[in-house]
Amino acid sequence: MNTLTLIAGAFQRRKARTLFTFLSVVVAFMLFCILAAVREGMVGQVKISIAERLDTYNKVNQGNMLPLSYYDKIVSVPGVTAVAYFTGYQGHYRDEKNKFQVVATNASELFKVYQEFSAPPAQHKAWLADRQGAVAGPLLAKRMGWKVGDSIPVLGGPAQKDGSKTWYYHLDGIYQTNLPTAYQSFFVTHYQYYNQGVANTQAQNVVGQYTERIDDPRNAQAISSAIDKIFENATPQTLTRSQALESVSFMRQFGDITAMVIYVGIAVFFTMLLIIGNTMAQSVRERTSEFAMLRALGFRRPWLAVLVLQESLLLMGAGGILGLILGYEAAHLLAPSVGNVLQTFGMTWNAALLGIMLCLVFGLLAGLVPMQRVSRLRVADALRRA
Amino acid sequence: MSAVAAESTRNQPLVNLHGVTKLYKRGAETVEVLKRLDLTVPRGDFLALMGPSGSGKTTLMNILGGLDRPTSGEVIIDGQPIHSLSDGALSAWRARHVGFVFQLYHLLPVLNAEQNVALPLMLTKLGAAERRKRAMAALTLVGLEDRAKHKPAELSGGQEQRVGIARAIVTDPTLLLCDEPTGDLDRKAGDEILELLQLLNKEHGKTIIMVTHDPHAAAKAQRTLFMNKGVLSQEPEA
Ligand SMILES: Nc1ncnc2c1ncn2[C@@H]1O[C@H](COP(=O)(O)OP(=O)(O)OP(=O)(O)O)[C@@H](O)[C@H]1O
Ligand SMILES: [Mg+2]
Repeated sequence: MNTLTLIAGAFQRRKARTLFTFLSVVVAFMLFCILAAVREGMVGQVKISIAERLDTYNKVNQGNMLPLSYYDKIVSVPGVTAVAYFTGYQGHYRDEKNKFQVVATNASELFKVYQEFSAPPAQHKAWLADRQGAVAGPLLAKRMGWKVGDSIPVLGGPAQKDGSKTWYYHLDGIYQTNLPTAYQSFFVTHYQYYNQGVANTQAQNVVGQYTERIDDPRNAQAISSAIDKIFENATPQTLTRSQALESVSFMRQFGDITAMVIYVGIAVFFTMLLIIGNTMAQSVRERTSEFAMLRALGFRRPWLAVLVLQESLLLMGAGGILGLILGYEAAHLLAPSVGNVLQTFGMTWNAALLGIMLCLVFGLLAGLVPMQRVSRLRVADALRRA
Repeated sequence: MSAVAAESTRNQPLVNLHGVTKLYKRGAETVEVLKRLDLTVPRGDFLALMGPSGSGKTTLMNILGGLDRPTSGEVIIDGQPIHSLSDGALSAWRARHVGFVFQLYHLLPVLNAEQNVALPLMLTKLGAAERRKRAMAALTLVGLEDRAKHKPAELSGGQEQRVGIARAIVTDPTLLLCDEPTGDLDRKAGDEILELLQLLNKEHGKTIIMVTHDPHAAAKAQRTLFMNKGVLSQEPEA
């Protein structure tokens, strides 16, 4: 028999209560994970949206296309160092469940504009030289079980000139990126191949957006204006903004709601912990005469205080760690469905560390009141009252 | 300790109380629960304490066992003035020198009999095997070796009290303080407890102070003192 026997005994006293308290801790920390993921979804967007990168869209409607012919004019704007353009479609592999985004771009410029992307040089080179080539994100390749060199028929694309909706690609490489999950699952292909294959003439020689890399973020505003100025009298007109600015307006759009969700969540989290702390205090209060008996046997105040602290830490620690693990999994499962709105939604290591620290701090806090109660116990009175 | 010193300690009474006063403040008024008590208990004594409810018996027992401090006066037990010990030192002293037997047993419901008895041994440096051995020896002494794995809820009141006694003697203290040990038991179970206390007193040399309301129980002791309004006397108050 040792202190663990005593702690286990304390938990066994009221099994249902211990279980519910434990579950509350688990749920509280799962909630913490989701909140942390939501927060990362907001803040992370700002972190990856840099002022060195501009996006040019159709001014009337962001969803409308822009002519491919704008490219030459945008490239020649002073301060613009590289321009990528994007179009594409959603396709699937073998089964409709295996959906992913096929991105068609001018491959040679992509890694210059998005320097957060890279691939082994040999793979990159092979891709650039291969009109039907593609590079896939690491998560996508893993999900589909692809290896470099595979031939990949993508189903469900737009009709080609021969009527087929199946597009054939070669997987030339797997790209790497430190950008969040949403960026790890693209299937990046050549614009040329798409443009020459697609049957719909409306979809030919147009792009969904241009993305420019510029030499100095301080010039973002001026260069944006310069680009839009070129097409002032053209149809369609363009709207260019730095990605940093975009994310600010993104935050404005969702920020208030998200912040509110987070505040409410934090309030719920803390309330839950208060309830748990109260349960702990109650459990110790019920055992007042037991603690008095232990004191009579010769156990000292600090010994009892540490016993109570261990109880609290164990409950919070075990529940908290389980909650963090489940919460991490939950955030992972949720990521695809919220990924469109919050691209960077997800648990970070920092959040996990903060969670573990909160576990310990709350274990300590929840134990504090009962600890004090136990160490202030007046044995003679407590035994009399039993 | 020299032989002479050891001898002189042995001849000293185990318990020496001098002018022990205990005051309780209840709001504005002060109640004098113990009034300048003097008490001497020789080694090997079995003393019964009787007296009306509220007369201060439990208060005296708590002071004797180092669970409470006198407002003034001296409490010397086995040569040790315990009224001046720090809280921590007093705890350590209790662990080594006194065993408590409570009216309501105060067993931990989640532990079995053997574990309950072994509780005080957690404060010693003994290994797990030795602790178990001693706990079993104490349980055997109280006649409950076959109930070692039973939880308190699975025992009768008399058996629970015997576990309580086993717990009190497992560290082999000289002084046993029993506050109404048979107060919650019927006559038969009470008698068994009293016989056990007599055995511990006669065969194992334990000095026992027992509070009781029952003259029948007090008769089993070597002598009886009466507490009345905080004063001890040889005779019950008329
Ligand atoms: N913490 C305290 N504060 C105030 N008064 C107290 C306190 N503890 C005990 N008393 C009072 O001291 C007096 C003696 O109490 P004590 O418990 O010693 O009596 P007792 O002789 O053991 O009675 P009983 O036979 O009912 O157990 C009582 O009047 C009680 O109310
Ligand atoms: Mg009493």
